[in-house]
Amino acid sequence: MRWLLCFVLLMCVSPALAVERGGDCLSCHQQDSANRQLQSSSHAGKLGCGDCHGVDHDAIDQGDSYVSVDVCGRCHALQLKEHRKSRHGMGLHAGWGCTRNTAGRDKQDCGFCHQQGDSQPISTVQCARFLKQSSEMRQIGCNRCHMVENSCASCHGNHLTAAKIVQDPLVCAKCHMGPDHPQWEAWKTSQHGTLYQSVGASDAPTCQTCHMPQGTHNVSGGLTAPPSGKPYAKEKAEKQRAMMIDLCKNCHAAGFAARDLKNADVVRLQTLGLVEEARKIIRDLDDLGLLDPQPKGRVEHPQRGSELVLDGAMLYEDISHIESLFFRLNKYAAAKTFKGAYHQNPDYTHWYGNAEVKLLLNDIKGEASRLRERGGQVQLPQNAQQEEKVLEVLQNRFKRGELSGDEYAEKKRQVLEQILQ
Amino acid sequence: MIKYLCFLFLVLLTACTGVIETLPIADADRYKIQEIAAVKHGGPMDLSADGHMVAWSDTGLNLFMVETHQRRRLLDTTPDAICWSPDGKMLVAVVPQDGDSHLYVFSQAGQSVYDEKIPGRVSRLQWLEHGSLTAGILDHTTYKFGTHIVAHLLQWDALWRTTQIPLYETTIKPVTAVQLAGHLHETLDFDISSFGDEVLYTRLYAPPAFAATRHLVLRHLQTAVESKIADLPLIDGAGRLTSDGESALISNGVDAVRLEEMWNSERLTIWAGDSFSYAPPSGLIVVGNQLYQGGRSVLRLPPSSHAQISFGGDFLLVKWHSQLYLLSGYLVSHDNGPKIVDMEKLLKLRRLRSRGLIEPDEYHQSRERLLQ
Repeated sequence: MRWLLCFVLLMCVSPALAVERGGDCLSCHQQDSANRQLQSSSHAGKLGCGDCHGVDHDAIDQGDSYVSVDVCGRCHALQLKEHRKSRHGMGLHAGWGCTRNTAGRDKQDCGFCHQQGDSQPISTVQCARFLKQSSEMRQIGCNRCHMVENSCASCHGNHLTAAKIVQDPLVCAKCHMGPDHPQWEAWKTSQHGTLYQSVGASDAPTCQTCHMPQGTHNVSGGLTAPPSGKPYAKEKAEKQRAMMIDLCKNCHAAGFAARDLKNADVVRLQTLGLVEEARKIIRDLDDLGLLDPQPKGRVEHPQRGSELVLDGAMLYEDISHIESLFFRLNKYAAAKTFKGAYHQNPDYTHWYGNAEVKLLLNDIKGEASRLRERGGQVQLPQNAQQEEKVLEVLQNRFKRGELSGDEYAEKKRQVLEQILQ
Repeated sequence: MIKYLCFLFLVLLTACTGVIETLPIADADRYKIQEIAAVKHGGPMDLSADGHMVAWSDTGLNLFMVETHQRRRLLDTTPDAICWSPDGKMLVAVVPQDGDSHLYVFSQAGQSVYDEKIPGRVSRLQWLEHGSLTAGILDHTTYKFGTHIVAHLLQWDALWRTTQIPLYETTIKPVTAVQLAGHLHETLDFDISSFGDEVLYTRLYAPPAFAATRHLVLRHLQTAVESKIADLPLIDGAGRLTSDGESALISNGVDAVRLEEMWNSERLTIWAGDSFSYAPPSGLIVVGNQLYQGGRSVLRLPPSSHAQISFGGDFLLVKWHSQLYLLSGYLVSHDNGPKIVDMEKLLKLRRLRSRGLIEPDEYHQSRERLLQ
């Protein structure tokens, strides 16, 4: 009787154990690529399917048993902590947003930010460009990269998780390429990249060498500016720079490395100056009501309504032609200039970057002249009939920080004087 | 017997001419008091700026010509609103008609000169001194989830051509609509500035999670920029602009009327009383049963009386114990203060202020330079 009771208990417990270790899964999934990859990974024999996916087969089947960073973090706590401190740990914050009010929204979109049944989002920061896209575009064009905040598989792959995958610069190329931030192309065609391709990683730095030293998962060490390019505060920037020079010292004299990076800093600031010049031209046109179409006559910006947006929330759709030119200048050409400079790539810095910035600035100036001519040579009004327009322009400039409080008050005083004459 | 008949004749004659002193006020012999009519029902009343014509309502609309003591019955329906033209030559009345309104215009002699049906209920009429006639109109549609309200102003020019100025649209909860049943149009009150550039009006505010209330809102008519001036109860309470357009008289509808500088919310004066009548050119104001000038009480009327002052401030129409009286002869100093020397510049400054392009302080400093 005692043996019979033990047998019954064993029969009840063993299926659950089997699922947890993957035993039951393997009766069907033995030959699946997922299992083959798992068996060839460092997790082989240590983890079963259920350890990461849970035991709800229906949920797994419907793709609802997503393996988040928290699942990996149960064993890889240090790496998760480093990941969260880095820009990769802010991937969602940079790229997602609440889709509740967007047209053609797919209910599945809620799952970008919300756990099932939880109204509190992972992120409350919205990305205007994400909100303008279709659900399908969001999935492929946005989330495949910005999912990195909540997905180790974004770099490590789902089941293979081999070190050689994540030590290859190609793994970074999936996201860090293209016209808006060609870090991979700039590195690959730089002397560092060409050396890597001819002699291998032992004598050439890869992405991981400089951005993930000693295998850290904080990929933001050594960077002196966020993606906008505007430098960090001096103290933080100096600390970050010192970290990078320490790495460069492995192959270069510290003075050489410092000088080279300093030159890249200057190139970045020069480029930002050109971006600002272009931005000001467009703002002035907006002040004079010469943009075509004007912000008030367009489809509303998902975050800022009918405001002219030329910052990080700028869209590349539903804008005027001159803004399209600015988008290319700022988002593509300027980024290529300083990404090229920091990755020691002369052509990206100069021809893809700097030359393109200046050519686009020429185009913007030409388009501005055309718009002004078409608008009847509207200049900042000087006569008494147009004081209201002058005050509007002054207010815009004050709000943008182009005029101090005192300067604004003085200029307003002059306009009022003109009215009262 | 002859003596007795003569006495009776004199009594009757006195009663007919209306020159009697029945309104109990101190130093009554200083003033001219005329009895106009017995008024048993409440309703709007108004007197022409020159004090020659009085219109009042009971179960209909009546006209009294002060100099000739002639009376005329103009309408047999109690009007929602009445108003004299600034020159006293025309009387406008609006009566409810099948859920909408009908506008009637009468000459001084009581002849109908114009009439027009107006969709929606008219809440108030205002005829500016050098401008057009304006009506505040509120229309509504009832749904099971609430009542949708559309409020607007309708303005007539000298040829009776109309211009519509939308004020607001909102949907109120069913419970609020029930609470306001029959009085919904009364929630809309308005007053256009003497310059004709701004309107102070009341706006229903009844979002789902909050108690229903009204906002007193100042809107610049050209720029359509609005700013909230005060909160008011659902029905009672009103706001009127002072003649310089810088301050507002605001009644809370319960126990106080205050004079407030609109752009810095500075409270200048406060009087006890639930309603008021204001004569912009003279600055005279009746609150409760007292007449004030410059914050000082100049005349005390009997308790429970209700008075309306003429536009210029020279005449008072007083309703007391179901009798209507016309009171004049009290001291009125037409101290209008300094004049604006360039109205065009002032209007420009007011427009700039409404758009937030100049600060209230900058406006005031500039305005001072336009005074003479």
